[in-house]
Amino acid sequence: MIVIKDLTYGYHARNTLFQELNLTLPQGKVYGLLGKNGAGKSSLIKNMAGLVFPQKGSCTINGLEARHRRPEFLAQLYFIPEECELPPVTIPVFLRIYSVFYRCFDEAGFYEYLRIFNVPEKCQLHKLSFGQKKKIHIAFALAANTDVLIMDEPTNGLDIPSKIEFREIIARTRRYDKITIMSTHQVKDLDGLIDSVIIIDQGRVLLAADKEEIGQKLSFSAKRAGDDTIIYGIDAPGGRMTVSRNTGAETSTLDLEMLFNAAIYNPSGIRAVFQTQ
Amino acid sequence: MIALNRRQYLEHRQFYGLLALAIASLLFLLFFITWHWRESFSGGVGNGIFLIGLFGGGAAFSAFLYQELRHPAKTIWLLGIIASAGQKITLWIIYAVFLYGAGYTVIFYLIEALFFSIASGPQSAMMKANVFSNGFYSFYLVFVNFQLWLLVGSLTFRKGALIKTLLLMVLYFIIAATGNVVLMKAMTGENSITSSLPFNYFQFIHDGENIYVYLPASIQALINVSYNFLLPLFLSYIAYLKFTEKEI
Repeated sequence: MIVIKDLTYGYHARNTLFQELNLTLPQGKVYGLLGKNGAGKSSLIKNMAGLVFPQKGSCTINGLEARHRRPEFLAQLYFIPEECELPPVTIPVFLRIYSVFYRCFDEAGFYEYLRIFNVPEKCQLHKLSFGQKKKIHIAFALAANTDVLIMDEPTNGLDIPSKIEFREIIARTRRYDKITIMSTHQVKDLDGLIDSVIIIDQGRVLLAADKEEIGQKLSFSAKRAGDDTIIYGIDAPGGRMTVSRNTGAETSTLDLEMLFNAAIYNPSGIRAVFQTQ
Repeated sequence: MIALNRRQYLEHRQFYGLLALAIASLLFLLFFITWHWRESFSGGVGNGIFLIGLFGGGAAFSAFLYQELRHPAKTIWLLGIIASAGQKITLWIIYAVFLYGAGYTVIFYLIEALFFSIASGPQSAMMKANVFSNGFYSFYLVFVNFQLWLLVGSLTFRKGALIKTLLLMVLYFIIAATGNVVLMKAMTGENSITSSLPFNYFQFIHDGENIYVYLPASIQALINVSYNFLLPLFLSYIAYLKFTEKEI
């Protein structure tokens, strides 16, 4: 479990990005961390990974403080940054060097993910393109089987076929008892992959809820303007698409992009529904 | 530590080979220059060549070793490796100080032996290095501090760490040397002090003769212990603390 408690963080002491932020992420779920550019997504996951330190408060993974970066903590976590670098070695040498650090490393799984991603097994890693490097990182991260996997903009740099392959791989490796966090501003990329949505903006959590809860509380459907349950609406070719409070037992398909826009453009409406701070 | 060491070796073995080759070529060139113009050089050039390679190559080796601290993506990767900060710093010290120092000494003597097997002559014996006599090996202790300062500098500065650290070291030596002369003049009232070495000696002219004034042996021994053994420990600990505080 990841517990963020009263987290205050800023790039400078006087300029705080997060002010006493609280968030608890239980295991067994895939979390989509959504936000606009500069919303603080990367800072939040870097705090979780112990790559930056909070000014106040704490961030723990299974009770271990992130900022101390103890080996027991690092063994539970794999972090894929937005910009990926790989050492100047071949894949077999890379495995020989790094797989030993991870107790539950699945070598067969790693090669299987590479096959799905169409990454050649015989290549010098540092000569690969940005997208190829990212694929190797993702394959290695999934094969490492750590309790927590954090991916910062995982689909950045991937072409359209690779994004489909990425979705296939993530869907295939359901990490039932583990935590997977994917941070992105490309909301559509995570559609169908995540169990829980966290939307942040200007250092505040606008929404943190499971898809099930979102389905119970919100409805995504075409509605006429003037309905006072509407939180957000946009004119679309088929009519006015809306996000509204689910007053009955209405069922609708979650539209991540609509939800994201609703949270960004009507944060008070969303917070009122989900009773976030 | 074993896994970390394997990583350090396997990832950079190509560079180690290239650096060894570059150092060997440089040493060969320096031996050739000093031998070719041997009339222009006094004795002991071998020791001078040894120091150029030890410190110059050591700085280049350190610059390469700490490159992971210069790129955020590489730093994230490094920080994420499952090992303690102490283990990572210890491995860097082992490589930058001990392995480089030992490796360089072996390369130096091999190249020297090779060169003087080709270029023999009456002066060749005088031109050979004599690293392990007359206290010359104390430069190894200076080298330890030099490498540790580079490590601390690499962990302190985000950009141009090597250059900044080297410039600060030069600045320190200038300020220390001139400041020490001023201080000694003020303390002794002797205005003819011409040179000095902080925590070691000063020299002044009396009746046209150079007079050297050294510290008492017991104090000098204490300073030597502090400088050669305590300072490396402090620098290593500072490097460890800086590494634990490293953010992206």
